[in-house]
Formats: sequence, C-alpha cells, structure tokens
Amino acid sequence: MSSTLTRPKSLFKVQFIISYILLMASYNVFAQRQEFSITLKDHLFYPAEMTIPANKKIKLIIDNQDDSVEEFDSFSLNREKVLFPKQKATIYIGPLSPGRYDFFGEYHPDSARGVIIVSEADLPIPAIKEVDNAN
Amino acid sequence: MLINTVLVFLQNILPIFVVFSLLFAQQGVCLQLNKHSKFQSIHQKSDKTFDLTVSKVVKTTIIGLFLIGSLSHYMPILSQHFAGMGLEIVFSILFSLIYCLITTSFLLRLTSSHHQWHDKPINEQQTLNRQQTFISLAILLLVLCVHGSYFSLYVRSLLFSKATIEASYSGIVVGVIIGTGICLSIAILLYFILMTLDKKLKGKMVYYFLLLFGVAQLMQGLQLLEQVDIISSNVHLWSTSHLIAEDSELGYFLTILFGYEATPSAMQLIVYLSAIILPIIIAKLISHRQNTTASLMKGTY
Repeated sequence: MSSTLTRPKSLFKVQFIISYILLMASYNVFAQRQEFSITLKDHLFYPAEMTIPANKKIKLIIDNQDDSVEEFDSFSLNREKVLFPKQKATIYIGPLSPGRYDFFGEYHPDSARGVIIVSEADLPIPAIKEVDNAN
Repeated sequence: MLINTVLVFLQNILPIFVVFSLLFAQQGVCLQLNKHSKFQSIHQKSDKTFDLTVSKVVKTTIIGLFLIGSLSHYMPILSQHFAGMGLEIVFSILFSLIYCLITTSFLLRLTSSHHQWHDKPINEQQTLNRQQTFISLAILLLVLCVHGSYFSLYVRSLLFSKATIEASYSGIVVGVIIGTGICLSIAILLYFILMTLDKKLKGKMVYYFLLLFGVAQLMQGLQLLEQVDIISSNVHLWSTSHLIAEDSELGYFLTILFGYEATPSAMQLIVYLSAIILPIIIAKLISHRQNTTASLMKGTY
C-alpha cells in the first residue's frame, strides 16, 4: 500500500526535475541576446578588436569567408568553434567581468588574432568597432 | 607551421595516447590482481580469450581511423543542423557517452575486483571480462573518433591549398613526428607511474585516474553546450590562469587528464564534483551490499 502511495510522488519529482531542465534549456535557446559579428578573411579577423558589455551574455556570429577551415579558439573565453569555409558560425559568450579576452584562429595563430574587450560602460547597439587588423 | 602543428597535434591527439595508457594500465592492474588470487590457473585460462589484447586494440584503431575519415567528411554538413548547433550537440553526446562508458567500467572494475568476485563461477567471470574488454574498446573507439576528427580537419585545411603544402611540408611532417614522440613519451611515463602507484598504494589508482579522464571528457561536452547556449553559463567563480595557464604545457596535460579549468563557472563546478562523487558513492554502496550478502550467506553477519 505504501509503495503505491509513494510511487506517484517520486514520479512527480522526476517529472518536475525533467521539466525544470527542459524549461531552462528552452529559455536559453529562445532568449534574445545582443548580437555581434566578426569576419574571417585571408586568415585575419575583422574587427580584430571588439567591445562588449560586462555581465551580459552575447551572441557572436563568425563569418568565415576563407576557402579553408579555421578554428576559433580562446582559452580565456572557454570557447572553441570550428569555422567551415564560406559558412557562418554562432557562439555565445559571457557573462564576463571587465577585462581583455584574447582569441585566435588555431590553424593560423600568427595572423588570425583578436581581442574582446569587456567594458562596464554602456555601449551603443551593436557595439562593433572596425579597426585595422594589426597583425 | 612546425610549432603550430605540434600544438594542434598535442591538443587533439594526446587524449588518445592518454586513454591508451590508462586502458593498458587498467588491464595491467587487473592481471596483477588476478595473479594474486588463489584461482590463478582459472584466470590465466579465461584472460587469454577475453582480455584487452594488442590485436584487438589495433583492429579497433583501424575501425576508428575509418570513422574519423567519415566523421570529418560529414562535419561541415553536421554543423548546419539544429540551427548551427549540430556539431556541438553531436559531440557533447559523444563526450557524455565516453563518460558513461568509463563510469560503467569503473563500477564494474571496482565491484568485480572485490574478493567475493573470485568465488563466482568461471562462466560469470568470463562474461564480466568480456563486458569489461568490450567497454574498454568502445571507450577507445569513441575517444579516437572525437579527438581524431578535429586533427583530421586541421590536416584537411592544410591539404586544401597546394601553396601551403609546398611551403611547409617539412614543417608539418616534422611537427607530426615531434608530436608523436611527445605523446608517446607522456603515455609511457603515465603508464609506468600508474603501475608503480598501484603497487605502492594498492588502491586501484588507475580506476580513479580513468574516471577523472572521463570527467574531463564530460566537461568538454558541457563546454560545447554552454557555447551554443543550450546550458546556461554563469560568471567565472575564480581564475587560476596566473598559476597554471590553460595554454601552457602543464595546462594542456592537466586539462586532458583531470579536466582542469582555470576559470570554472558554478555549473561546471557542480557537474565536475557530481561526476566524480556519484560513481564513487555507487561503487561503495554496491561493495557494501556485496559484503553484507556474502556475510549473510556464510552466516557470519
């Protein structure tokens, strides 16, 4: 008798946990994030320097215009994304504390380099700063 | 090109060498335990058929190489699925599978190395040995596919342009040779350290090392899901980059072996600790239950 009474309770708990996880996952998937974009051309990132807001998660779109595969890599950002030729890739960054976060192309680290500056100051939307790639 | 090839090789191929080393060390420890058992002759007879032999490993590696080729071929298509999250979803599933298999192997090894296991009939022992060998080969195959496919992409990116090959052919070849040498040295050193530790501490250290390696794989999967925002990532709890940088030689090694993370988030920390503690608790509970049952059977409880 007791087992028949406790079973629905445990089942309810499992259902609750699964629903919570799904809810969190769906919230993340459909949540609107501020978008930023970077272009990879001739093994160089444009812009090579970009400013994003602190303590906010942002969406970063990387457009690989080269004919070869590259890998966007950053140890400080904990991100590693394969960029296939003539394709766009999306990753999410943050929330980050203010500072400088380096990134590079793993297959061409001598040329494909850049930095993301995380600033607490209010930024215009989207805050992409075009600068010459000083590599 | 030489240094970059060595770095990419170390980052992608070192986990394969480490898993080879861990699986062979695990096998070595198991054989040592069996040698000390009173049923030595029975075990020797059964081990020859169901052990992780070099020929089985070579066959698995060949299958793995074919799978690497096909996986890296379909990676561009895969990446376009699930709104550009296909690669992350598939690879996080593969990383989780590696962890699940390693946890199963950990539980099987810890509970079967229990002294009551030697009292079991030979058929049961053979079945357990067969299961353990199958799991070890599956772990090897998955690690090969997941990590090998990333290195295969790097090679493909170099082979794409003739100019790159002509200009840096020697650099790539020498880089691969140096990388193989470093990986081989680390793997051999790790194997002997684990065997020595196991002899001195008698604590089945290799099983715990393999579990940590599995946790490291799970963390990589989690990081991929965080990257595409399927799992929420929080602010970094701390940074140990000034002590051990992730892009340093030691950082590479610790990341592969233990899942070292210089800037972990709360989610990563919770998953990391749970992934270690839960299998250990389950193994202890199973061992405790086996002890209790055996004592009851003998009437000494």
